[in-house]
Amino acid sequence: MIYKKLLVVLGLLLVGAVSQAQDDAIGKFFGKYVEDSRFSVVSVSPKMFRLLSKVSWDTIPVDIRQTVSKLQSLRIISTETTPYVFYKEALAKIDMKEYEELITMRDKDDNIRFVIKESGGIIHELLMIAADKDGFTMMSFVGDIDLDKLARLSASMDIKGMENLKNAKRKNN
Amino acid sequence: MSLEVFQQRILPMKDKLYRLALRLLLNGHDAEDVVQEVMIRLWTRREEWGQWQSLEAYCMTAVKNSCLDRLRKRQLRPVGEDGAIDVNSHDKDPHEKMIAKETFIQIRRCMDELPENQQLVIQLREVEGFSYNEIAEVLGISLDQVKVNLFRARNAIKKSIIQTESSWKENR
Amino acid sequence: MEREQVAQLLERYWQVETTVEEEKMLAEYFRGTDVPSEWEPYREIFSFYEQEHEVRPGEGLEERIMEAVRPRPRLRGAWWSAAAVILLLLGLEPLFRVSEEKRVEQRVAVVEDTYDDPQLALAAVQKALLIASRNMNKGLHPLK
Repeated sequence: MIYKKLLVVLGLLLVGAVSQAQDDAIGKFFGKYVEDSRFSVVSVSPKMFRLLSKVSWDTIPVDIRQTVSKLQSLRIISTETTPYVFYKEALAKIDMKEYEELITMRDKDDNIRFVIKESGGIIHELLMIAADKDGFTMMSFVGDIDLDKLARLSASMDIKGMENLKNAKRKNN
Repeated sequence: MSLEVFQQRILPMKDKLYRLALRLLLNGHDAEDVVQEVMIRLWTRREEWGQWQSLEAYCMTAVKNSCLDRLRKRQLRPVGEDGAIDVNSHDKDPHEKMIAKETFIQIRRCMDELPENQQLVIQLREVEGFSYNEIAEVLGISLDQVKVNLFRARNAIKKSIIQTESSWKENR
Repeated sequence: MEREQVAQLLERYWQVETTVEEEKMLAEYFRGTDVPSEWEPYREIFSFYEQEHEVRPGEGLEERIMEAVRPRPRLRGAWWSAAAVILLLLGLEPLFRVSEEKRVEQRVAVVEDTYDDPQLALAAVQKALLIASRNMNKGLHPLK
């Protein structure tokens, strides 16, 4: 208990000095809405991604396997409440000095934007913000991302077939 | 505010509600389901709490009705004194963990064979300690009917246990 | 209690003339050890009711009810900030070259893992990739 308190105190002292954590776009969104019951959150950490190599890959297509093996983190936050409002808010949180716009699409119902963080020829993060009348989703992949490969994925897999993934039980926090 | 009332006054009722449901449904899982349903329904109607005379009576009645609905749908439980009764239908019975005393088994068997209202009166009076008025309210019967049912039930149980005991004594 | 008293109470009990308090007294009496053998059966009866009264629902029932009444927020604040603090401390390694992976961990480990089971995590990752992919295609080929 005391150790925890000590950490908290030290943490507070360091808040100014170190600013790595929680600063990226989705991190800010998480920070604000993580306790809000209107939002659903999914987080797969680097540690979990390392564990994925131990999972059975037999039924998984090669492209997916290759893509996943290069990922380090997945974070998703979504809600069904006022999707377009949150879409705007999410966009506002993206620091355009750090991210580069990749794709923007807007039609009658859909608002979709992809931005990326790139350095040294590698795309380190792909951030998707999407809203339609059913809901708003913000999704961040961190790792070594191949955009062409990613775009081709949905061609090779039927998303309907993946609908049963919805039934995957979530850990109670 | 309602949440506190719920947690402190309503939620603690779950044990006796469960026992009542169990008496009727003879199945622990189903009994829990009923209690859960009733309590959640109660929560959604929290605006009405002030209007009800007795939250306890309301809950017990709701559980009773819910159980009877289930039983009608189940059509398993035979009614009344006639016909063969499967007293081994104590499926997933929490009683399993308890002392499997021969006498207790006998008493429970006797209770299972009683008409529904007699069983309920025993449950509410002997196990839960309700007053006659409270029992009348929950079961929707008159005070006199409560007493008549209690009389019959108590004496049926008495008779059944004395017969058992004496038959053992003879066999010794 | 005097045996005479008990005998009277019992008589009234079978006649359904006792009050709740009197019945409690009878129950109390029968909990004792000094019960004559001809009243053994009655002891069994009272003991049975007492045991019935001890029956309780399973542990999970209360949780399930409260979950529906007041769903808990998905992530507990206290844990989250403790983890973040630890990571802030880790960030204090100016003298070492922080590896790429560690930097990622610092940046993304704001939130607890949603899944315990790698199989489920993988399923979620796949689904997310497909959603992203589909949306990318929507964006690249809006008329499709």
